[in-house]
Amino acid sequence: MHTTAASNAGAAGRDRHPRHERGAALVTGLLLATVLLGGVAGSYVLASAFDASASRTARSEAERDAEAGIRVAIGEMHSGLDSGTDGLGNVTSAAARDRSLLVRRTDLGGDLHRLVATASVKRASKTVEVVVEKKRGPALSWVPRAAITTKSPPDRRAPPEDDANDWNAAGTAILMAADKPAESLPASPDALFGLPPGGLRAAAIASGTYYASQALFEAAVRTKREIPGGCIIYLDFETWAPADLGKTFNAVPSVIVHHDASKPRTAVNPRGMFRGLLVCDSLVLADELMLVGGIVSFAPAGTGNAFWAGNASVRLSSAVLRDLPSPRSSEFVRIQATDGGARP
Amino acid sequence: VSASKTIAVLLAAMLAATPSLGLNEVDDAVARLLVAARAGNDQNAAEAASSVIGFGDSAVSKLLDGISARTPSEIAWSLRCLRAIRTSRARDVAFAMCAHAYASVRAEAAILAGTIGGEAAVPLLIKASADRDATVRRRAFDGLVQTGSVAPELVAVATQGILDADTWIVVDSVMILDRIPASPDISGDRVLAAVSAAVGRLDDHNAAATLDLVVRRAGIHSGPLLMKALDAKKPAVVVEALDAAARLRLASAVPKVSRLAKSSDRRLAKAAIDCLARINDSSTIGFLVDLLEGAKDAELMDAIAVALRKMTGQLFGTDVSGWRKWLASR
Repeated sequence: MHTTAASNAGAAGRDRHPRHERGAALVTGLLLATVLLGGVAGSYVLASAFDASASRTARSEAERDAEAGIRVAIGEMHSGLDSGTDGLGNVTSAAARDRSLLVRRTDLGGDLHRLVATASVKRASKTVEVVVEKKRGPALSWVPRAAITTKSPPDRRAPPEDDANDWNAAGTAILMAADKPAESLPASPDALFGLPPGGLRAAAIASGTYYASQALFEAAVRTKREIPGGCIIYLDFETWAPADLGKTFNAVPSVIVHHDASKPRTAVNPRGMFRGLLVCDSLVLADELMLVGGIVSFAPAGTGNAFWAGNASVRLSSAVLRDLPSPRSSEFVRIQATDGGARP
Repeated sequence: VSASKTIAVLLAAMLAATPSLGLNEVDDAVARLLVAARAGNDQNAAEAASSVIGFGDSAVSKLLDGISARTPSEIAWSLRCLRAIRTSRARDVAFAMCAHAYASVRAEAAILAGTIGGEAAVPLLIKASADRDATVRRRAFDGLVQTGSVAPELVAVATQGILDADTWIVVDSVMILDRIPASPDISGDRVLAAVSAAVGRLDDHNAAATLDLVVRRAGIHSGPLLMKALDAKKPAVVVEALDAAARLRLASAVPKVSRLAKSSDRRLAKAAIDCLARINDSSTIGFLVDLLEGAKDAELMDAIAVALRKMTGQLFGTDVSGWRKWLASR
């Protein structure tokens, strides 16, 4: 049997530590496997974490998109301008390959609408559902406790009767006898309703009931035989003569403003029938006038305000004065919101 | 002594002069009024009238003296002042002037007669209420309101008044009828019977006030009258009758209202749908869903959706299948 020294030595060595060497390899292998497994697991964990984070981001973006879609839809309904060609309150957007938005409006009747917005960003999507109502802005409200309220004491005769009772909106029945306390008036008609200076004028302009001349106003009254109902009418001319209020009551109460703080205006001989609040400066005579609601005069002392001599009847009606129009445009408000769910 | 005599004489002279100064002022004020009235200057006349009225009773004699000989405008302004003073001394003059040739005088006399004449003025005012002049008729009805009378003959006059073309007279007439006491047995109420007979002649300018009177007066007992009004030819009257039926939640009107909800007149159909919602009879929900299914008009669909929402609290809008599913699940 021939053996070399080395081989012999090796053999001797193997022979000397055979179990030792096999153990080291095993350990190394295990270590390597552990490292490899750890690496794989770490990569997996890292990838998962990254993926979860990306998913969260996408979901959050989808939620933001859906909310933005609802706002766009409400904006369309408010303005009456369709941003696309899919109808007011409907929004369709697919600006990027992995991003889309769809808002669909369902009319629930009576100015109530359901908006369902679904936004997708990458693989995430979010649905938001809201019910919005078109609400009239807060109405004007000022209920005096007498038919005629003047800023300064009337320099001539006040109406002889009817100014202490609270009448129904038809002006046919007294609901209750009202007190007649001293009423203090604010500085201007705008302040009376808590509006900024020029608020009533702006509201009338917005509603198309601002009249810069008597001729324009009379044409509007002539067309209907009555004062336009449910609006703020701003008469921006100095002398209103004769002040014709039409032959029959306007069905819905209105507010007529004929006032100028710097140069008090004069309404000469108001006559006709009106339901609502007449805000004026000086009234010279009043004949054949039947007014259900109230009159407020901002005329300073000495200008001949609230002068009565004829067959005028002014009937305080809190029912009418609580139903005055709104100076503000309508707005959409959310009355219900539902989380329509998210994916993934 | 002489000094005290002088003072006494002066005081006596002053005391003697005071009433005459007052009389002169009244004379002046009345004279100014008459001048302005003659000139046809209403604003000046009104200002002068304001001064005259300020003298109260002491101006009455001067206003009444020789009134018949004055011009119509002077008489009218004198009567206005007498009305504001509310003197009963002017009663005979007021009654006599109700037959004056000039309408402006008759008109002022009528309201003065009503203000100071009480029940005695009623026959005159009833006559004036049929005057050929619109202003006289107005003042006659104003006068009847002023008398506070509840005379039985006023029922017929005021019922005729609610059919007048002048909304002013309609309002006065409703007020007159309103204060006539209701019969304990409402089925025999004269006012209700008279208005019921006039229902077919109501129109858009008197229906609201008249039917409001009926509802306030008879409540649920006004059902038969309202059913009659629901058959009226004029849509405006039917719309007001629908509102009245809704106020009373008149269940007996449901079949008729349901028929009206199918009307081709959009205003009528909408009012009927609203009426059904306010009556809120649950048996009509299915009918409204059927109506919604067949509706083509967007406004009507909207009205039906609103009615259904008010009745059920559900938000299915115009989604017919949604409503059907909900009905099936109840």
